[in-house]
Amino acid sequence: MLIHFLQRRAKVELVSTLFLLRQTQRESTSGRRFDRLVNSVPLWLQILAVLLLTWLLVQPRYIKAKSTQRIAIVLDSSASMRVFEKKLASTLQSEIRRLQGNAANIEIWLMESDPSQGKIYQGTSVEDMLKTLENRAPHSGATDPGNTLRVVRSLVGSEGAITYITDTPPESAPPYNASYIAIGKNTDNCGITGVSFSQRDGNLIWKAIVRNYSDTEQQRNWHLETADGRSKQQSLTLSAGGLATLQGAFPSDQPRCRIVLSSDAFDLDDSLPLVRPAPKPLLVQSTLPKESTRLYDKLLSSFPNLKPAPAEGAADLVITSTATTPRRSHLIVFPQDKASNRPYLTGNIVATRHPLTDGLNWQTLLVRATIPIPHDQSDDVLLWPGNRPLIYLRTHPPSGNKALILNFDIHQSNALKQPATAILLLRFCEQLRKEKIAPESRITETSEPLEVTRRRGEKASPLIFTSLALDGSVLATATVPPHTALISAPETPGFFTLTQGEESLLTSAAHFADTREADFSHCATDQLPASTMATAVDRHTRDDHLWRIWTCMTLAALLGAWAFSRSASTRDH
Amino acid sequence: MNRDQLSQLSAQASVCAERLTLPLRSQVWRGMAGEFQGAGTGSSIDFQDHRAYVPGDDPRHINWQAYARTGNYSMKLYREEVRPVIDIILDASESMLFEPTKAARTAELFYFATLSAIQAGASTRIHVLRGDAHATLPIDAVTSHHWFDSVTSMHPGGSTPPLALDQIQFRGNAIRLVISDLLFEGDPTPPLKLLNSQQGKPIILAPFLKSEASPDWSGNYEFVDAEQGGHHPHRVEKTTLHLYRKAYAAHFAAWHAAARRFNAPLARVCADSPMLDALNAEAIQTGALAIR
Repeated sequence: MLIHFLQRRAKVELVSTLFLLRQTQRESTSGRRFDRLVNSVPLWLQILAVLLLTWLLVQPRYIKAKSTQRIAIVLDSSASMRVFEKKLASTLQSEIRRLQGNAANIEIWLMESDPSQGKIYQGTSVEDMLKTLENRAPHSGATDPGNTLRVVRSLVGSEGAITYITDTPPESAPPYNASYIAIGKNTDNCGITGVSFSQRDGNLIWKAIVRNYSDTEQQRNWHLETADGRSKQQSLTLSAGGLATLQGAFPSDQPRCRIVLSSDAFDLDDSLPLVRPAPKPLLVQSTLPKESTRLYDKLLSSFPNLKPAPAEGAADLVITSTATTPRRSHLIVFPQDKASNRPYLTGNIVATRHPLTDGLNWQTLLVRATIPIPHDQSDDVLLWPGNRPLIYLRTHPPSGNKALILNFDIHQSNALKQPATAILLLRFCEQLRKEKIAPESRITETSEPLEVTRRRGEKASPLIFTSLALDGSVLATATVPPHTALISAPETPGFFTLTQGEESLLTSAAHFADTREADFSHCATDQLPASTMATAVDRHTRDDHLWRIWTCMTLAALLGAWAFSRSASTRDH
Repeated sequence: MNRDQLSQLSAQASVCAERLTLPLRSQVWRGMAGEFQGAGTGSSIDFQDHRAYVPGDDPRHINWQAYARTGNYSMKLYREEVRPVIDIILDASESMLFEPTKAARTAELFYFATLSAIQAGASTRIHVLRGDAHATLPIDAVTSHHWFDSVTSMHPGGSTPPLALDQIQFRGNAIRLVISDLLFEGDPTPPLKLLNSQQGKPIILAPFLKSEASPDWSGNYEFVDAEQGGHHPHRVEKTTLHLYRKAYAAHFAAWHAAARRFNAPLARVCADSPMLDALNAEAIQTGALAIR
């Protein structure tokens, strides 16, 4: 417009009919400025030229119809994220809209940061993706998103966009050119962090620790509930960052109970399910001569979970001085040599690297050179003084039973005064107890890998995983193949049993005990955008291939305007 | 314009005055004795009527032949012959003089009117209006071509009314010959009413330029008002020009309509063609002038 109006100097004209000119303007309804623009070919040509020039300078880009932006979003699987789940949908929508940029299509991968949980959604619909998140309740502990980010980078390729959504801003930028969005905020939380049991006056006493993770004093109520009812509500005041211990007797007539704290934003640590703990016993029988029974009594009284076998043949472990082959049960062999004054064994004592001897010091062990029990090539020698195998482990392949053979007369040595000897025996007993297939009752943590000894092989029955309510009613059951390598406790607090066939293997109560996830003091809202948006624009759009035509049209319009103006000037002249 | 130019224009006007004259015969005159028939009885040789003698009548006009026949005095009445009265009003505003062609035609019309009045032996008064300034010029000033200097030396006041006819003391029963381009805004009725007052006979000769009627403006202009000065920026497009022509035509159509209502001949005289042709084009037809 400016160019148009400035291009020609106005001619000065002396007139006597100015009042008639003014009348023409009064008749114009649109006013003077509009009149100036009507039907001026140069004006329209100049406007056209300016518009074309603007178009060229703006460098418009067209979205490619087939362009697809691959978007991978990795969600923090940690349990603390469940507090901020409401923010997740809106965050995802806006982030996907941002990451889509100019692309015509999108392909979305939605993954959990916990590599074991895998993919939540893959597809092209944001609505469908959001539906998959409706019942999401993360429960994992703190996980490193690095592995998942590496996987999704390989899925979306180098040009794809990756965003990691968490509740705590990472200390450094995520790897693999991923952006992150932190949607958390500092939230007050009190929760039960752990439990222990003790016996007092024949009663089972539980002790639970409650922790306040916030910077302010918190007030909570708690009670104990069983299938028959609940205890009186009690108040609990926790100072900022403070701990408190709750304790009480396990209800004698109940197999299960639950301690419940008044709820807050983070619900996982507000309840503590309890079962009466009952470890697997190892039944022990002694065939030692009478003069050596003291050794047997000492083992029974010192080692936990060892019980005398009720009947002959029922023992898991036989302590003997004669048998050396564990055909029917496990053995600990203490050979006896009546001869005295045999020379002490000399030579360097060397312990083989083995779980039973790991970290034990045998250098002060003095043993006499008693008559050796011949050992097989298949035996695992644990201790070598010189060339003589002093302690070795023998396995009976058909039964799988083991025999720990102490190849010296223990009474003619200082072995009973050696801590290493006691630890070796304890480890052996514990190993046998662990490998024993028997009912067990204990407290577990949520998602804890369960070491449950069960029957294996082709004929073994599958494992039945049963979730129970407080009153013992079955909530859900799941069948687990017997050869499954890893069995985990449930992801949320609750009661469960594990059985194989008719045989009960484990009765347990799982509670949440990850204090890192219960602490929200580091949660915050933050964002780190990725640096690939500029290249994405080039990738998903193309430039205007008609720019040469627009340039020619611009020049033509300018020339046309100039020509019209010139002809008008000539005519006026 | 210098005296030579005025003299030349006067010569051209006298040529026209030999062929055309003011429409004096169409008017019934009263007043001083002259060459034209009066409205009353007079001393001319034209018989008009008879009537009974009334004491005090001029005995020279007693019809003695009728007395001889009837024995009653009766009077012969003759038509009165009077001098016409002409007031010439020259609109000497700047719009009449700013353009040489139009100024020349204005001068020619002025000379023509004056010469025609002189030739008719009329009682003539010459009024010049320049804005709100008014002057009465003697006839000598016209014949000696001094009038133009007198006119240009008149200075209108700050606010220049279109045509200050109210400053003129019109004579009754007079032809009021107005030479004006009529290019001023407003209703034509009030000035025509003034001109028509006291049984006056308005005659309007309006010189005009073709460039005023149909200009060929196009583009940006700084228009300067010939009378009031000042710069007025305009961009003239075809539409603007069309509207202007319509407004110009409507302006003079309003004047023609008003003039017909007051029985005032209005003739527009083109300044771009020879004077005689310009007068023949419209002045004769409308009765503003008559062929001698």
